[in-house]
Amino acid sequence: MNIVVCMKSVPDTTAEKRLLPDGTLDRASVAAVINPWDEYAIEEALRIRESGAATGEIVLLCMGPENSTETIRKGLAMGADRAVLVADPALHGSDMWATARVLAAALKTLQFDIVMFGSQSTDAGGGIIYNAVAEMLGLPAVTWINEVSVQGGKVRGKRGSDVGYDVVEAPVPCVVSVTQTANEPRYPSLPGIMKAKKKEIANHNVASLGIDASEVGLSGAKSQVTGTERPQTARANQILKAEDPATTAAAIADFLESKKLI
Amino acid sequence: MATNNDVWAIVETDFAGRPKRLGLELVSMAAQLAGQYGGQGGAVVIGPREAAETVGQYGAANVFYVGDERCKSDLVGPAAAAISALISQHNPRLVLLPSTPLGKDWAGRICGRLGLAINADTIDVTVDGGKATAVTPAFNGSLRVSAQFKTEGEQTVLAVVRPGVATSTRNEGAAANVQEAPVPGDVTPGMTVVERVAEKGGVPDLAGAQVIVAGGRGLGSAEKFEMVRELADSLGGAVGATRAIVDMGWIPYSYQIGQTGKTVRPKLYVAVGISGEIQHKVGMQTSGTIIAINKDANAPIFQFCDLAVVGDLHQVVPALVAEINRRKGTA
Repeated sequence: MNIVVCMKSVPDTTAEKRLLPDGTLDRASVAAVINPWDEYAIEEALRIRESGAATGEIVLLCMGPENSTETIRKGLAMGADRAVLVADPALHGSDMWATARVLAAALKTLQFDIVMFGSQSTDAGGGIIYNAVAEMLGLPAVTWINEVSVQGGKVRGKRGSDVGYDVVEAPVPCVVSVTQTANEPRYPSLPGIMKAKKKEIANHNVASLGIDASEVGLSGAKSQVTGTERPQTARANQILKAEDPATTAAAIADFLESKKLI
Repeated sequence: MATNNDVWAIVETDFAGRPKRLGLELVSMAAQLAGQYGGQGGAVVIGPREAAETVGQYGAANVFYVGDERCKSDLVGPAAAAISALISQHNPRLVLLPSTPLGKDWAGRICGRLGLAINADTIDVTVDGGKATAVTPAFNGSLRVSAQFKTEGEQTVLAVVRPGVATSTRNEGAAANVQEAPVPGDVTPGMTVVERVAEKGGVPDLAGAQVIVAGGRGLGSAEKFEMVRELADSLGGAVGATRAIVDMGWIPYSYQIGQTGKTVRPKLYVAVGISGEIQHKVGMQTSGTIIAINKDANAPIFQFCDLAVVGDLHQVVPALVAEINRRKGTA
């Protein structure tokens, strides 16, 4: 059983972001990390193999700029065997539909039983791509799950519901998205980091996947960004130093009443 | 094929077959946006006829419902196929979907199936000069990105909308044209439900809460979370938590607010013993009014709150509960 993990390189959440004069993010100013949600997907793939439920390869698939290799190496250091990077200037500005098409096309070049995703990304919330990919490939998808198990050719997991949880499953080949409660991602070991330097990162571009460049990237995007702004974060920031509890409580209650919140 | 000027909302139903609150918000939002295009509001309810009739009181002129039992055994495949078929048949201009795990599952399938433009994590939609602009937070909320659909008017476009963006407006006298819609033959199987388990105490509805009181590591111990519950009760709100105390096992993950938990937008957010790490901030920063109670005057949370209470929460919170109850006349 082979597992492909789709991973994305995102700007580090904790870093201060700078904007370029055109309003886009100055990506060069921010360290890139593996999308935190995708680390759970990589970890889950490794655990499935360690449990003996899968014996094949674990391949990372990433669509992103050329310098995504640095982030990919971190995933390889966790224990994935090799990686495929789809990088092409023509992909810059791709929308969700185009991204899903590229990933679906790249997946067709790989042998897999499970395609693993993190359930969201931190740079753009998403949660859309893996279902679009599943639909394009005609595959079932078990999404937003934890406590993942692979047995009898099926992937099973728990998915939160209004009243508790559902136990859901799909037969392989299938798409899987995991939540952060699925596991605790490991830190790469030193030997893992050394080995990752020699692992293969194969390259694909739009042409090698047989995709028309005009259908992806900014030119093919079905939506276009018309503006970016920093959100208004200005808040009153009124400071109340606690005195005796009753006085402080009364001051807070006055504040709530002034805002018609009680 | 050109679209008409109608705007639809897709509505989830709960375990009892009632429309979910976010769905009703989207129905009213769809009706309002449709009015600006000169079209009609519509809705597709995945659930029984009774739910569709309720939806008709929230502004939709036409309501389709997909009552097929297969939508219960496979949550995603049949519903996504049915919604896709309705979109292809009727060509609405814009379709609003709920930004929940299931709503995103449907949206992804519909996008993949029909090749439609989609805007995820939408926090605002405006119509100006007959064109929609959708706003999305990016990079964990540090930016707001506005986008327009290049294909609008030629092809249906999708927006996946977060809770609290719109207000549901009920008009009990309104009656919609309600019709059942079938699940088409070409369903891509999604995921099979093997078992539905109800947990004791249920699951918090943080997305729909108007008031949230959240606790963090500053509480000191799991038992002290009770104070958070008491304050939430006095304010008529729900409780939430930081990842730190979820990881320590003080409270289940379903209460976690932040980057790897839920994103919330209540009218009032009270942060109790929460330092305000960026991972938490991104899940609550768009709340209406934020009050933080923390003994550390340098806690980051004090940089993005409306009222910063610097003091010992163990004294302040019980006193505040008593004061609120006194003012409400319940104590």
